[in-house]
Amino acid sequence: MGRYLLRRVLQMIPVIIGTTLLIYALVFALPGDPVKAMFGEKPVNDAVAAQIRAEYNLDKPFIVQYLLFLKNALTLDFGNTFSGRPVIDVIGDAFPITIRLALMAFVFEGVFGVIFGIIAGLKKGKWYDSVILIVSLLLISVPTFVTGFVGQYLFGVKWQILPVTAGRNPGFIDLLLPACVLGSVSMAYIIRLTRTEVASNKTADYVRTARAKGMSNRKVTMRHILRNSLIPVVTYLGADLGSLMGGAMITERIFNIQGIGNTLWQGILRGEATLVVSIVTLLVFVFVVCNLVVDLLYAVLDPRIRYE
Amino acid sequence: MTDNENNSKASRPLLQVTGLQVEFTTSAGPVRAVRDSSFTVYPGQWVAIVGESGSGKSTSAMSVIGLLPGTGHVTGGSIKLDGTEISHYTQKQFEQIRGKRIGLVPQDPMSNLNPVWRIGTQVKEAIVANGMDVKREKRSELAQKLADSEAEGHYHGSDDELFIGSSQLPDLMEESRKALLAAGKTEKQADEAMARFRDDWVPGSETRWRVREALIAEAVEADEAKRIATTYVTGATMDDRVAGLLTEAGLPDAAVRARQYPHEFSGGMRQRALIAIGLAARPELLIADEPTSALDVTVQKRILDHLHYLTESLGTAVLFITHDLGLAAERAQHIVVMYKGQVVESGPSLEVLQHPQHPYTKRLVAAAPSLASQRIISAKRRGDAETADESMDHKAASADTLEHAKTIIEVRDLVKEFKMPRRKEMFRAVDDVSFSVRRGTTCAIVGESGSGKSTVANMILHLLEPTSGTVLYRGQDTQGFDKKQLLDFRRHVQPVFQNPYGSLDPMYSIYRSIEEPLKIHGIGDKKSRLARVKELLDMVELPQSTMTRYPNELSGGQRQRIAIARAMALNPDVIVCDEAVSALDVLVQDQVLRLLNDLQAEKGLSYLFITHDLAVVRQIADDVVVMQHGKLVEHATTDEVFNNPKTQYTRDLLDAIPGGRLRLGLD
Repeated sequence: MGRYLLRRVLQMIPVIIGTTLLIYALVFALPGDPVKAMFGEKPVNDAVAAQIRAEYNLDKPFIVQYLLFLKNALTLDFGNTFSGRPVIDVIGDAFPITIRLALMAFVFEGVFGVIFGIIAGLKKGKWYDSVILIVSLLLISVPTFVTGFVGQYLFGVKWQILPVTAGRNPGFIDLLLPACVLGSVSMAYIIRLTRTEVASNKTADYVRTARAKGMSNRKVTMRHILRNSLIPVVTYLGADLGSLMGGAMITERIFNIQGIGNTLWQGILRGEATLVVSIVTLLVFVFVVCNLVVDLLYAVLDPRIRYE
Repeated sequence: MTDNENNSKASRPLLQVTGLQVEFTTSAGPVRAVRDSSFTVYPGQWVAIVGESGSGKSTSAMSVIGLLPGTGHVTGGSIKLDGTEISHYTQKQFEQIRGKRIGLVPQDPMSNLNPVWRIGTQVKEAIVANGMDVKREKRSELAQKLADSEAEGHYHGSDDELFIGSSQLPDLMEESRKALLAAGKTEKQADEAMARFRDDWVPGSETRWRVREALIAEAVEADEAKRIATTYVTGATMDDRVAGLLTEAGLPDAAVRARQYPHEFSGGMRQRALIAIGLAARPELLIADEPTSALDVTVQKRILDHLHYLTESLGTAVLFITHDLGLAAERAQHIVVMYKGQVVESGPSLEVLQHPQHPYTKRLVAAAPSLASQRIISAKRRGDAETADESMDHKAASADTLEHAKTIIEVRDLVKEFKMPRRKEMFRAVDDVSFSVRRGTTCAIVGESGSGKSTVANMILHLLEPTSGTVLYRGQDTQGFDKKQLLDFRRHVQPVFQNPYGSLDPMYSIYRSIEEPLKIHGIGDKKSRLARVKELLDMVELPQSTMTRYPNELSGGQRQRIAIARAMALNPDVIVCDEAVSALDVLVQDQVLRLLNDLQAEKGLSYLFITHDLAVVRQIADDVVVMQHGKLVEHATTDEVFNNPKTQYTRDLLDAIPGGRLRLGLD
């Protein structure tokens, strides 16, 4: 177990180097001059431009820029944005908001996805199974921005129950609708996964054996059908937490939430390699850690899996 | 039990099923799985329902316990448990009788235990669900009556049924030893008696009165024995009881084993755990649905012996479902034969076996490998005699001219080692095995799972590289083959595998499956290949229209025929059959064996037949190689192995053939 953990942690190093390098290269390859973008429509003095280039190492070759970034990142110094704020501060402001949003979405999709999935699975073929299936299919096929705008219009504008957009420092109510929108697609997947698992476990041989012991239907369902069905669901949920953080970009744009997704978006627009790569590094890190936790959780839930 | 009681109990059936009808609702309308099924089980009796898959035998049994799969439901007839009609029971009502009154030992030990719960936990569920008292044995109705009539006898109230607890066991042992010495035993005698006690006195299984009886039997004074038993046998805990039940079912080291998960158990051990679960609440009736068909014959015999002993001592009646008539006849007092959802025959076991009335029963008797082996051999010899003139090769197969037969495959000092995870030393799967297969004959490799027989087959097929030793094909070392020679070798040595469901590509039509080897070896053009496929289908006695169908549309037996046709496509010399008929029903198995036999007579083929079932060997093989733990323990002609087995292991294997000792009245 200890050796397995160590191996997995060491594996994170090449993953993070690889992804940052790739992202750095992609941002570097973006068309347009970041210095010009900084000044917008105004003409730029050549000397000033050169000074800025030197300050942000923009005059150096790509690989040198990347290595400088990596060197500083190791000391948690991610440099400054073009506006002069330290990148670490920008992330520090935006990240808690995204975490709040992602966790709310996570709870939403977990609770409702599993509940609806179980109901549909246990009552496979009944009318509510069909309704749940159709709704989940709808949520999967409609893009997030459509769900987002429809939700905004219905709840915010027409019925005026929830705020249309979130402000500077959003609270629970502000994030409720965005969290539901963000979690809706994953919820639909969880419904389908849970439903399939429950429906197939329901007819498993060991469930029949349990019934033959004289156990009550409730106990058989809890101990044998649900326990076994939820193993893949829990692992899916774990892996999804990482995607929720990274995938919040569209939702944050729609609801104007000043989270990590929005910041990333602005960084890309401005061609700020340091900001973009820093955020992506962070997201990759979160994602890899989530996956590791999922794998460890899997071993706890399923005794057949043991790591050496 | 006195005769008197036997009669009074016997007069009232425990289970009476009359005119049972079961239907499944499908999109194409109702399908009737059971049309007319009637049978009766008396207390303490073993009744076997025999039939092929789809005959409705399992469905009939499952409706008794209310566990019909999917859309199945009882549409007619009556099921009476101890005089009470239960066919209309709701699931809630069934929960009351499941476990407590009717137990179940299911068919497949691999899928019937929940992989995520410990074995002990799953046994415990059965105890808890039925509110069983773990401190004392539940007295069966029979024992209760016995106690009432013999009030002066063994029983002194229900405290006599208290179990030994593991915490009291050391004190009990110590006191017993003292008492033995006090009773005038020598140290040595006392030690011997203590060794017996140690085996017998299982916490959570042995009861106070039995401890007392055991002590008295060792000449301890009655009062002293009573004092010891009363002081030190005061009831078990839940964990003791779980371990006790598992021990009763024949699981060694039960207390430790109970903490393990199903995947750490072998098939036989899992089946024992399932037996423990089935009997946990001391039901009056146990439904055993092919409880051992997934296991090796020797394990099968041990488990059935044990189940027999257990149910006999508990007075449990058993409804035993099997497809093997020999097994049924050996174990049950009464046989019910089902065919296409109907009971076609029923009666006392030997009666049914020796004087079968219905044509289907006659076919079953003839096909049962365990019973009919002698006959089929003679049929083969008859076949030999007829074709002897045409096929010189095959004449060589008859026993008298064995020496002159030419060797087609020879195996010399074959060794295969595998690396074990986390272990330094290598695991020897095959240990110095040498034998040969003579042209035009069948050589069978027999052994339990794990004996290395399939590993040998894979090395002969050149699918696995031996660690050392050689495989000679027509005198040439197969290891030295270059690409071209290897292709030629593959053409002449063809495999047929165990699982007819897995060995055919589900996306290939039957035509494509059979044509594929021809195509790979670049034989003929499209037209001639089509003709060849047709010819092959004729050969395996399937209609040519089968060509356009897909594997999932065929039955297991048909698929195995396709696999044989595919193996035959290239006109091979040798066919390696790895458990090729093990997954098939007896009747289908019989047909496939006959087909293989005919093909051998016709084409002069050599077979290498890998199987765990000696009954099958008797039907098809000329020579037998017996393997155990990777070693060859016996190699002789079939007659010799059957009539004069050299090693104990071979004798065990022979003993394990169900119904092997029964005599038949057919012909």
